[in-house]
Amino acid sequence: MPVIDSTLVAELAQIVRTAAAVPPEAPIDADSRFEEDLGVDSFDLVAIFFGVEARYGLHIPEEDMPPLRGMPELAAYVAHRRSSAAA
Amino acid sequence: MWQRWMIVHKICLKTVLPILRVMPHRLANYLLGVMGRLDLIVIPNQTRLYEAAVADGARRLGCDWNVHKVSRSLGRQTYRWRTRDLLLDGRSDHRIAPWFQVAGRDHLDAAIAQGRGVILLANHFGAHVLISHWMFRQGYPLRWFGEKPRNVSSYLTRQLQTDGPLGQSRLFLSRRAGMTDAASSIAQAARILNAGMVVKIACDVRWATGKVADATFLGRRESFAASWAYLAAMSGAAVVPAFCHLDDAGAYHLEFDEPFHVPSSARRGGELAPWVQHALNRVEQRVRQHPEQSNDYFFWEAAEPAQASVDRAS
Repeated sequence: MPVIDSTLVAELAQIVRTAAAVPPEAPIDADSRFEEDLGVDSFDLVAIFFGVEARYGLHIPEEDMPPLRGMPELAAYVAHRRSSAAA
Repeated sequence: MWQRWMIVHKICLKTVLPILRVMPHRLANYLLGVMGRLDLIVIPNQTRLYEAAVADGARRLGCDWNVHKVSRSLGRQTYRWRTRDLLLDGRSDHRIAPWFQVAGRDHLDAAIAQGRGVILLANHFGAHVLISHWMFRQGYPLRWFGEKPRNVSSYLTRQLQTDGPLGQSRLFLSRRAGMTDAASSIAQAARILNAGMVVKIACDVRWATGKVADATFLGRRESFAASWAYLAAMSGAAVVPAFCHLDDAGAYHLEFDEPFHVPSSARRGGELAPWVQHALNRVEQRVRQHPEQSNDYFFWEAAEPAQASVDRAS
């Protein structure tokens, strides 16, 4: 089970805030849901995925995208991919 | 009522298409025009329905059309429009080449040569399906972003069955798709554009959620999908508006307009709306010039509930 540390969550929150233009007053934490809590739409979500790809040098295949509905899933996914790449 | 005639048209076409396909194209096209005229003569109130639709269009656009004449022309186009590209099935590239008159191909080629992908900005004006058919026949690397087309040729259906990372399979959208499913389609479209390919997207799709923009089209203020503009801004792809109208002699007139770019900054702060309006203005200009090619638009209100019930039934 990969470790999801607070640094990763903070980095992802920054990517999400920038890519989806989430206003500064809206908190993004480890439990935030993209659509329900942050008002992210499908195009914003693509910008988030591309931001994650650019930041961590990952390729997120389209078939992996549908389950990534919020910060918990995204953080777990990135942590898993990074640990797999490091192994 | 509209739904009933949609079904009648479909049955009539299915019956006559095998015969029309073996006829000279010009004759087949002429007979389709006759069938459309017969509709207006035989079906009670059909002439009145067409004249009312055309008069309403003229009023909304402030056009001084001869309503009677345009209605008759629109009637002649009905079966031709519904036939889409079905007359081209089973005919060789060489055979169909003379049926296409293409203007602005250099615009399309120049946009592709830029290497950042091309958004083929499509619409529902005239014989719009024929643009894709011609492009596939010419070997352009084309993908469709939107709802899966129905009642198109076997040739086009085969072209739209490509799979893989740059394939077609994920690009067909459903209005019922969830956000993350839609995101995977959009991501694939962006990757296809990044690979320098062509992605066809219609600019005149009325949509309620996600990236939408309010715009005026055919005298109505409505919400339209702004996905093409967002993808253009995100990818840096060139946008090439494309049109096709069908003349009475059976020739398909394709036009590729000059390419333009949507700046990256347009993604933020509601700046997509002017681009959406710009695209719709171009379509509206064509409707003004060729109202007889506007079957899709003049009967929008009547067709949509009927189409929805056909979708539910299928």
